Amino acid sequence: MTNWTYIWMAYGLTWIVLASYSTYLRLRVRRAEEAARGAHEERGERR
Amino acid sequence: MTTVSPVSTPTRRAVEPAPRWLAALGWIAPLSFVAAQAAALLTSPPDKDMGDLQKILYVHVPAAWMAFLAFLSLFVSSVLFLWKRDDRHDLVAASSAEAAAVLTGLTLALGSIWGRPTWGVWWTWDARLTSTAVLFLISVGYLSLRAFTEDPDRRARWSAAVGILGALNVPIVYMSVKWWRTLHQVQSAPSTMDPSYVRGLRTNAFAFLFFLIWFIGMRYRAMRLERLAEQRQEEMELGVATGERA
Repeated sequence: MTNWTYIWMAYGLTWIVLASYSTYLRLRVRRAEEAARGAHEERGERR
Repeated sequence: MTTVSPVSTPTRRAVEPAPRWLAALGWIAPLSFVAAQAAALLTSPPDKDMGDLQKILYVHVPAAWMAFLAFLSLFVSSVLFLWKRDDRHDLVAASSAEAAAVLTGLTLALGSIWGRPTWGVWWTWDARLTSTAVLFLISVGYLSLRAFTEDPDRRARWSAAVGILGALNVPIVYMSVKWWRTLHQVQSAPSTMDPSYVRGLRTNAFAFLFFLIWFIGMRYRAMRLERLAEQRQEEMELGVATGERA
């Protein structure tokens, strides 16, 4: 493997890790927002 | 006199909007990262010994620095939690630990990719590599402890203790290249390298820093909202049970 193969491996891995974790966090926040909103609405309906 | 509208309290509103700085960082972090990485790849000259492999420095070193910062945040928030018993510190500690696990794992993987062409091996039981692997295992252990402890109070106290003890490993990792004879080079810092590499390192470090703050902020927000949803659910179930009894 050439030096540039290792360089692209390192940069590619960094991008994959940062992008994957960012996506995971965005989805987790969105799901938590929906859960909090859902619980709020359900509580309002029962009242 | 300042009056607070009941609508603005978190329990009354369906969902508090994300703070502006957090939303802005969601854009600033990736954009600054693209710019910093492009500058590092295109403008930095090859090293006289390593050649172009030197460019791995711009991802490996900032990832390691930010992993250390995440452990520092874990340490400070764990101490604050044990001192003040405020749940928010516990959540910051947990958010920091997750970011620390991601960044320490990335540091190890990048180091391995760099080690193969320069040392001839993907891995060696060198003091720096081994102590970093221990740091990674500590962060995974911290997250496992949180995942398997159900009682929230016990979970917060135990994980704060693990967080403090785990973060104490950071100075050992940092100083390992001085305390022991290692294959790993001495700490990379602007003072130990050629000025032509310093700008690339600094810009990438800031881009990583933006990501770190955003990671901790987003994870914290997710956990706060999850707790709010649980709390509302419990209140509702309690209300139903009380209503049934009445």
